[in-house]
Amino acid sequence: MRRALTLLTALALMLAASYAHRVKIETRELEKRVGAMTAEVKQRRAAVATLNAEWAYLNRPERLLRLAAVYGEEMELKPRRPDAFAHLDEIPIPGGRLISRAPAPLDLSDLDAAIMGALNPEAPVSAAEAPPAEPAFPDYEEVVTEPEFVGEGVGEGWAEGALDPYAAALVESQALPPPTRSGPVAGTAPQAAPFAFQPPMAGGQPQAAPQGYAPPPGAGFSPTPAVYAPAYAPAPASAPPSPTGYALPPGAVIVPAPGGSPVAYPSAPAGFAPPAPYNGAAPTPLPAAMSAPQPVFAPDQAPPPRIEIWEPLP
Amino acid sequence: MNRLFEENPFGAPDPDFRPPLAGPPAPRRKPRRGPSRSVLLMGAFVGGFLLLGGRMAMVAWPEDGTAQASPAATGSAGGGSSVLAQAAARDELLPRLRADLQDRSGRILATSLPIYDIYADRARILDPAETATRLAEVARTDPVALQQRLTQAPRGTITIMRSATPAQLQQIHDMGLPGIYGAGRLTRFYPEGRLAAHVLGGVNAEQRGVGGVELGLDAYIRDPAQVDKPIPLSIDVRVQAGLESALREARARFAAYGAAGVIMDARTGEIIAMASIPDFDPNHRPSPLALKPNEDSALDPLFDRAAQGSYEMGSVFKIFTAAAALESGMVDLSTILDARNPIYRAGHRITDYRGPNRMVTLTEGVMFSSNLALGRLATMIGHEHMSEFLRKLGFYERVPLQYPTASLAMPQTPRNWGPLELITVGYGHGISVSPLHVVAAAATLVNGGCRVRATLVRLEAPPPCERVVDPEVSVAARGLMRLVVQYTTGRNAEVKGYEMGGKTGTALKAIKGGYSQRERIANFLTIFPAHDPKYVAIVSLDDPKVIEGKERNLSPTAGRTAAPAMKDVIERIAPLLGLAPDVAGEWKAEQIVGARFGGLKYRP
Repeated sequence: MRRALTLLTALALMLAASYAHRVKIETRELEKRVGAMTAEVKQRRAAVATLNAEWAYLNRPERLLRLAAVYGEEMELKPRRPDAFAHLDEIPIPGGRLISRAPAPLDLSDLDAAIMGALNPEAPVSAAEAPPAEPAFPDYEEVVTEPEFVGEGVGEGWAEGALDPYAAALVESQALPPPTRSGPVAGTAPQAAPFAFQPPMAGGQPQAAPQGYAPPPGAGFSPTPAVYAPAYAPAPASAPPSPTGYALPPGAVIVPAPGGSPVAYPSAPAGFAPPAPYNGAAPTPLPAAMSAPQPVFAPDQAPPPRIEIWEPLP
Repeated sequence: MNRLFEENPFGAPDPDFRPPLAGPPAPRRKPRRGPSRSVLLMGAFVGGFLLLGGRMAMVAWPEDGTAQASPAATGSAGGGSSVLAQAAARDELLPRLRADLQDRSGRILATSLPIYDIYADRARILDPAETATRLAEVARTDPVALQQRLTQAPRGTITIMRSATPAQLQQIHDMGLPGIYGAGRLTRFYPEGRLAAHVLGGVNAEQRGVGGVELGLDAYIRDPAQVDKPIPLSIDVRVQAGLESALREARARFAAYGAAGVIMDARTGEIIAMASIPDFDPNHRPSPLALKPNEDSALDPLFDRAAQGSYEMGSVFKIFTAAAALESGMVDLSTILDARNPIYRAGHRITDYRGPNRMVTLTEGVMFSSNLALGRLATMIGHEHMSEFLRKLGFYERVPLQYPTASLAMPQTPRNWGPLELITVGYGHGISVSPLHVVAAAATLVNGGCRVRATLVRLEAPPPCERVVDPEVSVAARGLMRLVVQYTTGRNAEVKGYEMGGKTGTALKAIKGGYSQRERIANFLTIFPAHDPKYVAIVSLDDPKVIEGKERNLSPTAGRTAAPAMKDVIERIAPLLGLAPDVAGEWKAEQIVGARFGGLKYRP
């Protein structure tokens, strides 16, 4: 009994000692691992800090300007300048292609003659009843011809010598003086809304002018049942103002100009009411010297309205 | 004993008889029961080991799923008070002494990089000759001199090379020379180079700030509790780069001595960009020039012309005089002022440079920048109103910027307000302030009247409004500045679509003994968009000359020099500030100004 107890105790002693030793060894191993990992974390953090500094150094503006000067043309880089901004409604419809020209307007003053003329197209019409001669604008014909398209894609492959309709459209738009805020002809009441652009129907038929449409007085031209391209209709006084002053097609999405500052905060301090913004309906009256009339269309030099029908390519 | 003698005095000895030695007879030994001493001892050891092992297991057992490392692994022995211990606690190799500085979008403006000092322990070097030869390649020194130092210097450590890069340290390490060690430290690095040099400043060898924000916020940057958090400044690197390149080009174009520019957020007072040309590289900050007393302190590239330089701003000040007059309630925008007859005061004669030479309204006086009109206006309102208004705009104290106080200009205002002082301050020549003062005061004036305090640290929220100017005076000031850009001297600065308002100012430079005859400071102050300004900016050219174009050799007024420079600046930075030009949406001055003060009255 005594011997068993002695042996048991000795065994227990050996087990306890070996357990304690094992725990110590394992702890030492763990400590080594933790130390190694800590050292690696520190090295990685130092490497990250150095890489951040190097990234900032490689992105410094003077180096980027130097690289842009050397490679800018090749990469077609352009500086972000004020002249690089445009508004959505200043862009002609991409891929549009001129397909037809609206016919001469029907003269409904003499209904009988009109019916006879429509029923007998070859019948000779007397000079008094002949439809009025078309206005002689020599460049008008050129614009109406369909340019040759030799390539694929929008704006690509126009044949040399063919007229680029976009360029003609832009040139024409810049020939118009900018509209004033008080209406097409200053000093008069704002006009009723002229015929607004609507997308062409299937088949590309021209659209008739709405009932009761009359040309603005003093305009010097007779608008045919025209389909105005959106870039050329003067802004109606009741429509919301677009930033460039030209009419927007109904249903167009007005992309607001990015006028917000990158720091957003309440702009009106407490107790301060800023002057009411200009909403186009009731302009502040200008002093007499400022409101010299600027006619949009001088009587004899009115450019004709454009009568193209733009159809987006499939 | 007596009994034994009586029974058998001389009988045979009893075999079991033992004569007693001493004391009572020895007790019989009882048979042993229970554990022996060795067992007890072993049991004690077992208990001890079990206790120890159990305690170790308890300590090592993960609680809450996390392993507890012993204090030795984390290295914070002794409370962690040493810098190395703190660095080790933050999982860093080298102790970081300064917090990073960033721009408002998080780009790094100032950071810390490791750098090593290579030293040698003389006692452990085996072959000084070979050591010196091989080290001299990396350290780029003379091998003979190095060998001499290694052999003849007293025992101890010798510094071989300071500021070695990690790559150079690795090179030396790979050589395997005994006795050569590297001690690492972190040094300050400015990755953007010369950009925002005056704003950042620089540090000295002990990693303490010596100028700019590094010195102004030194205690905060070096705070060990905050050293890991980068500090966002209000500067925008892209806008700063645009401003600096435009100023450099303007300085070359107009052969100017120097140029300065500030762009500030009109509502919060954050400085988006601040530049002073000529500048320096904060990575190699030069020591201040030793200038003689009569030499211009602006010769030193360390001189910050935007915040430190103090100049008479000239006609730019007229907008503040007009606002003071409107705020006093004594005048209207249509008040008639005499701009025809010269002013004779205290022995001085004051005239206009190519002025309107007639009776003008207050509007026209500001538009045509008439000294006579504004001087008389200042006289009308008196010096109490004038000085009180200037005090409210911050012209009587240093701009509260995160700069060392010695680097900030103290405005020079008249000590005694005599009649001549009132007139000269009215048209902008009696008071010397820095361009930063003018921008902060203009922001206060045009943002609706809330006091603006310039700050170089990004604000997370706009400061509360402390109203110092009537909002309607603010609206009138915006309209007046828009007029200047629409019709008169500010036309050269206009960028269509941003509805800029502004004011030119040309002042003769004050030199010892009076004013220089030829040298000027040309300033242009601008606000945009005028009807609700978001940004205020100023460009200041030191001694410009018109040397090209059809206006060559004409008098270098601000309209010919600072205004085109400002146009260049706005063309570069306005798209970066997120503003798109809106030509048809530009307000005219009459639409900005309401009916209060009678509306703008001028002859177009």
